[in-house]
Amino acid sequence: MNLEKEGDILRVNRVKALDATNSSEFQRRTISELETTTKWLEINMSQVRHLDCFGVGVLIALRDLMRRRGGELRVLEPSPPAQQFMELTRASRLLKIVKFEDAIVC
Amino acid sequence: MNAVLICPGKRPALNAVGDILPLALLPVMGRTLLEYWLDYLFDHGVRQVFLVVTDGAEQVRAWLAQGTQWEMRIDLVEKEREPTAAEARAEYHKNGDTGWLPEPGDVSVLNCLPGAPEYPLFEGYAGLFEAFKHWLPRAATAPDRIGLHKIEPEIWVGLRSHFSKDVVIESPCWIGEDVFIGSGAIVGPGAILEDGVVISAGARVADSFVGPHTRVGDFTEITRSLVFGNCLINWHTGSAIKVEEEFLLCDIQAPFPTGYVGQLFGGAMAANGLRLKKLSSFCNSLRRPSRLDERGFSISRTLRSPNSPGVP
Repeated sequence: MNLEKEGDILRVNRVKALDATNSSEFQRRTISELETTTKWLEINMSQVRHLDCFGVGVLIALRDLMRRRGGELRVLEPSPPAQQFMELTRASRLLKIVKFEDAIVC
Repeated sequence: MNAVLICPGKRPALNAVGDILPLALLPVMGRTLLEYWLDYLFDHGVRQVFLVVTDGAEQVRAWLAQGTQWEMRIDLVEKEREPTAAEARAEYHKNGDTGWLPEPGDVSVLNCLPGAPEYPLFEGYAGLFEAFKHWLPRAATAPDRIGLHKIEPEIWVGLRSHFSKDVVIESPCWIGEDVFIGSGAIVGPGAILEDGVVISAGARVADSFVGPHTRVGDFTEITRSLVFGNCLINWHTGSAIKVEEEFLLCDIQAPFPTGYVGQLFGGAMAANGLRLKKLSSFCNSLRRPSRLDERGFSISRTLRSPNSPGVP
C-alpha cells in the first residue's frame, strides 16, 4: 500500500487485499499518517482482490475515527469483488463510495 | 424410440458454476437440468437415451443411480471432448436406423431448458438468471409437481417450507421445498430459493438465485446474484467470490473441515438446537397476534409483473 498526503487529504493507494492477514497493519499505518489537519481520508480500493470481515471492520473503524475528527472517509471505486462483499455485508450502505471522477484528488 | 443427449462440458462464461458442479446437474427449481431433459424425452416417446458426458461423469452416474425410476434405458458414454450434434448423429444415429426421434430432436445439447432455445443457459450469468426467471411459470405448472402452493400470483412455495412471522415476500418468487425463512427477512422480488435453503433473520434476497442447501446469514443482502454454497456470483457484473465467513454464506451440507473442534460438540449442539427450537415455538405461542397476514407472513403487492391478473 502507498500513502500520499496533499493538504488536508490522505489518500491510500495500491491496496491489493484487506483481510485477516493485513487489516491490522493497514489500520495502524493509516492512523499513524493521519494528522490533526487531515479532513479527508480516501482509500482507493480499485485494486483490492480480497476483502473479508476484518477488512470491512477496519473500514468502518476508520470511518468512525474520521467522523470523530470532523472529517470523512471515502472509498474510491471498489473492485467488483470488494463491491460484492460490501453489498453482502451491507457495508456499502455505511460507507461513502465514490467514483474516481468524484474524488477530491485524482 | 432413441435419442442422444449431450451434457455440456466446461463453459468459459460460467467457470465459477462449472467448478462447483457439472452443468448437466445444474439445479433449476427443485430439479436438475438433466432431469427436465429426460422427462421431456420420455414424454416424446423416447425409451433409450445415449447420454454423452465430458465433465463430471462420476457425479452424473451417481445422480442417475439415486433411485429414480426413469422407465427408460440410459447409456452413459464418457468422452474426452464434447461432440457436436452432427458428430453425435454420425456416431449413433446412422442412416437407415429406425426408432429414432426425427431430426433435430434426435440429438440435443443441454444448452437450454427443453423447449426454450431462446434462453441459452451458458452464455453468461445474466442469461442464466434470465432463463431461470423465464422457466419459473413452466416449472410451477408441471403436472407432476406435488405439494407446490401458489400462495399469491407469481409466488410459489414448496412442501415443508416455513416462514417466521414477519417475513415479507414480494412477487415473483419461487420458494422450494424445506426452505426456512427467518424473522424479518425480505425475499423477492425475483428471488428463486432452491430446496433446503435457509434465509436467516433480517436477510434480504432480491433478483437472485440461491442454490440448494445454502444458508444465507443474518442481515446479509443478496441482490443480483447467483449463490451456490459460499460461492457468490454477481450475474450483472460477472464477478465471483468465495465467502470464507460461514456466518455470512455457507453450504449447509458441506462437511466440517478435518479436525474441526466443533465436531466434538456436534451432538451436544444438535441437541441444544432441538431444545432451542422447542423454546422458540413456545415463545412464539406467547406472542400477541400481529397485524400481519393470518398465514404468518406478509405479501407485498407493490412489485408485480404487468401481465399478472388484476393489473390493468
